[in-house]
Amino acid sequence: MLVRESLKSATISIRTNIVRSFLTALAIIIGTAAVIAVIGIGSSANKALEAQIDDFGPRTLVVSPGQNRRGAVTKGLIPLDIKDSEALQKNNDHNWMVSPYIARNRQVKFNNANINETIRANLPIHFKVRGYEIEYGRIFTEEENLGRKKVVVLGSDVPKELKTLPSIILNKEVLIAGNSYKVVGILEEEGSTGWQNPDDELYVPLLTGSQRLFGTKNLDSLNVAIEKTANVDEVMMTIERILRSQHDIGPGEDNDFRINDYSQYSDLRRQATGIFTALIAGIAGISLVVGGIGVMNIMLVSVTERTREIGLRKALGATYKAIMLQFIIEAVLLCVIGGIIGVIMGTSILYLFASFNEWPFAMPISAMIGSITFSAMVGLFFGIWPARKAANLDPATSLRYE
Amino acid sequence: MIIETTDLKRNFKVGSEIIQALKGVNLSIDKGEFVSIMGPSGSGKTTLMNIIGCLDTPSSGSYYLNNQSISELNDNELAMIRNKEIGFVFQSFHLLAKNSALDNVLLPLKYAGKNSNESLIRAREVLDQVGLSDRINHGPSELSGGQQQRVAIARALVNRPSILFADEPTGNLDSQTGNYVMDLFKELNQQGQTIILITHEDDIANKSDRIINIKDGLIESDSRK
Ligand SMILES: Nc1ncnc2c1ncn2[C@@H]1O[C@H](COP(=O)(O)OP(=O)(O)OP(=O)(O)O)[C@@H](O)[C@H]1O
Ligand SMILES: [Mg+2]
Repeated sequence: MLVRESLKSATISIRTNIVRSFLTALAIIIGTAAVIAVIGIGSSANKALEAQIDDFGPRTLVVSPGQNRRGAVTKGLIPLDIKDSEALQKNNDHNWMVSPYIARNRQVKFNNANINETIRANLPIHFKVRGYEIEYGRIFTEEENLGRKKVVVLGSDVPKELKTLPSIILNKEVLIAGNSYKVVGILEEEGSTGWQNPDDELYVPLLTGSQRLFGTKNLDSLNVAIEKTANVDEVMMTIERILRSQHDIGPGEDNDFRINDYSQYSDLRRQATGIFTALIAGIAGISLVVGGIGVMNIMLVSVTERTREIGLRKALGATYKAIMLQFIIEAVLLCVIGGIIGVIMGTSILYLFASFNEWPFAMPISAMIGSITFSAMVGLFFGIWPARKAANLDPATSLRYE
Repeated sequence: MIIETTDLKRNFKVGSEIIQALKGVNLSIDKGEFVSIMGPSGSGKTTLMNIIGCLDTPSSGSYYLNNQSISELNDNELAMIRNKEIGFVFQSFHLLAKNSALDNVLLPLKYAGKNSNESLIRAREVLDQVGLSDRINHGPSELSGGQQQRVAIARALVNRPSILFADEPTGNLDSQTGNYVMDLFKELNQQGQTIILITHEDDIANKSDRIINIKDGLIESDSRK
């Protein structure tokens, strides 16, 4: 009953001093909005990241050249070459797809258009590993690879960059570094992944590129696509065993290559986002506490202003507890209202941010409830002192107060 | 005996000075009496009312209310006595400005832990008794001074207190409204309500049965009609 009476008197008090109440709650509003926006942005970013990883299709391990130290001498990068790739391809323990590539920039000409683009020399399986689909024509074949044929598959943006149309350029010859290559296919639009834009690249068979274009058997990198259910550790051990024997690495010597798991990166990134979120949320939490001090300050003012009211309530029979309750509820209500407005504001900010970045909108309900609860606790904590001050007032003296 | 005080003293410390507001008051009041307390400004009338109204505690001396020693009670018990046994009416009404007449009258019932339909019925009943049944939803700012004071009286009566205290209840009212309020007190007293009233005005005091004069913290005279 007294709770209802207290809520009523708190509402009246907040409404009577609406501007003051709003200004007091502002720090709470901003604090809560910041917490909500940051937590929401963090979780939306993770959602976006997960969606990206799923896009990647099967899990891919990336083998890249590493350094080998023999004794104290560092011998620089030990390359991976096509033979290493072939050795991996021969193994069938894990049902994997081995996709090596070499990529360089070369001059590409068609009619009068002349561009400098990334030429990627890879196996036909590369398109499957990456999940690239063909839109016009076909992808090159294993036979064309073995025959070092001069054929090329274009990324979806390449025809436009060469100032032509897919239908015109298909089956025509383009000049890559001065040599004629037949365009056998054009990919669908794949979209940039952030560090690569498959739509801008030109794809030639691995052996063609190695021998005719780049003059090297050294690979930039080797992708090993494995099934989602595969045991990553076992796969890594198999890769390690094969490559160590390829490179004649004796027992006790370090690997001269690195095997990276993409999902490791995403875990790391998720962790980093988590730390960042916690940090900002912590700072926002501090602003909530600062807001709480503001609330305490205003509540102390309010107690002084309402000394006569408190005296009267005591004269009518209000106990210490009843007065405590009244002022604590007022402080909590002020903070909770601030918290609710803050949650609404933070969610709106997140919504704008997420739609701007084309991220999925992910707002954990627990964060909403959590931050409103937290602002209630801030109100409770910072309301105690003013409320005690009110409850301790002497009734006779308070009634004399002018 | 409803009120019995012996050698009641109350000192206030103001800075390094000690003000003796009450210097030894011996007072007995019976149930059903209508008592006026008179005296010059600063003589200690309000101080006395605060002590016998359990709003304040004496520096020394004893006080029995309904044969119960008040000095042995803690804050909570005092609050309960103020709530149940005592009704206050003040010179400046002391209504909650943003609450309706009805809500103001309901307040002591809420502090008594009652908030049922019965409370509502009781609050309307006392508002009716003071002649304000048509104003129950009006706020203080929409009421005249006399009406506000009647709301305050209704609020003082709502818990059926043993004693009604009124500290210069007509001080802020014109004489006609003041008389109306006094008639109301008279009527309540005739129904058995014990009333203790502080006033400066002889006309007002003369409406009561007993006049106590206080001077410098002591009872100077005590006369019954
Ligand atoms: N809380 C207090 N602190 C200090 N002095 C006080 C306090 N309350 C009362 N006094 C002093 O005690 C004396 C009696 O005051 P009290 O209010 O009882 O007078 P009163 O008879 O009610 O006067 P009035 O007719 O003006 O209301 C005064 O000198 C007053 O200044
Ligand atoms: Mg006085």
